[in-house]
Amino acid sequence: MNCLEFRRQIDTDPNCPDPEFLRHRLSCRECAALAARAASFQNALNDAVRFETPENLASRILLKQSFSGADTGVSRRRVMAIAAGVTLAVGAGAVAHLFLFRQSDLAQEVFALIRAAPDALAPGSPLAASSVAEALAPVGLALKRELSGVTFASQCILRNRLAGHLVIQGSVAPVTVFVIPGRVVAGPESIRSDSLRGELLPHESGTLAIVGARGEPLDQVRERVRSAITFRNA
Amino acid sequence: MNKSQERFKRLAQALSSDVYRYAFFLCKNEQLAEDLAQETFLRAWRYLDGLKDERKAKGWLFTTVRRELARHYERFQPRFDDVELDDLPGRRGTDPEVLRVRRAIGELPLLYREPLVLQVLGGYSGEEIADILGIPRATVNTRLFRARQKLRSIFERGVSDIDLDDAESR
Repeated sequence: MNCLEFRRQIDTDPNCPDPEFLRHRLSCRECAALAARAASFQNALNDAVRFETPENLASRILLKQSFSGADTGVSRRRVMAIAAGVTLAVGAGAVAHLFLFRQSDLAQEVFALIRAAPDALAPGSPLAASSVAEALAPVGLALKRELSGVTFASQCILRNRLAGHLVIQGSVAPVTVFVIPGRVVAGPESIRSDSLRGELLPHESGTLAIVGARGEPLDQVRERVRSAITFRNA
Repeated sequence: MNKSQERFKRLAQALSSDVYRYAFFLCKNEQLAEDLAQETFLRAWRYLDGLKDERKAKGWLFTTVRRELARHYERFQPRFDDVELDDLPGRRGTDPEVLRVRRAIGELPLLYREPLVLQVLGGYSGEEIADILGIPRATVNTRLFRARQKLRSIFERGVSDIDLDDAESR
């Protein structure tokens, strides 16, 4: 490494661990002096970026999380186990009536989940039917027939219950579908946020939430989902 | 408190300050930086089981901050009159030289500011920064070089003369 290369490296990454960089520093007095000045500058940079942050920031984050109503994948597995036990004990029909909820809460949570997972809406190749079935199985859902155009299939937590999360290619843009077991609404209800619109509707012993961009027709996706997805205990 | 909550609490306590600082250097607005930090951690909570390696937590959170900011700008046009460099946090009681460098960082075009903050605040190598920003390693090096040269001249000469060509900057 020559002096020019050394100086360029100093101005790119003064903490470069390259042995040649370190050797040159030891062998060249001028570059060693430059490195000393760069170290001083680095200290100023370190101090400059580490300014004081708002008081109790971490506490406020933890507080907001405690009110978020969401849960993690680890707990998802726990919820799944609990849900299976409950299903065996009292049956899905009873569970559906026990867990009636307010539509507005569900709508807010549906929109929050969509906003929290923009990657799920990224364009992708359609998944194989087996992959979709595999993603829905832990929720207690099965495919009666193939559901085409599914680009994302997973589980999520809605109202503290394990639910199916699908993204299906609509006529223009992707449409998000949540299949929530053990939850019912009295009838179809429209929901909307700033840029999204959708509907909540009963499906067998649970609820479907179908949401797309404003202007995206949902009828076709709704019918495809209703004819393809069933609760295993239905 | 279950294990997930304990893990999340550790992450929030250890990394919330750096996540906030990174967000601040991207948007230069204290309220928006806090909103971004809050949203970033909420998203992290929802997808916590996807984080297998704790050592990658900071990079994961930083990447989420960038996405949250992009989503914010999709919904709301940035109000440039919100950007007040004199409002950079921690002005009082701070070494004037540090304040000068901090202000100079804030005045760098985002194109140069972001890799520099990732390097200094995040401790990332050029290769890691290239991964986070989705740009070639050589481009990262060029931007770091230009940012550091300009800031060093300010630091050594006390001259505030940010004139980097920001034709590419957002």
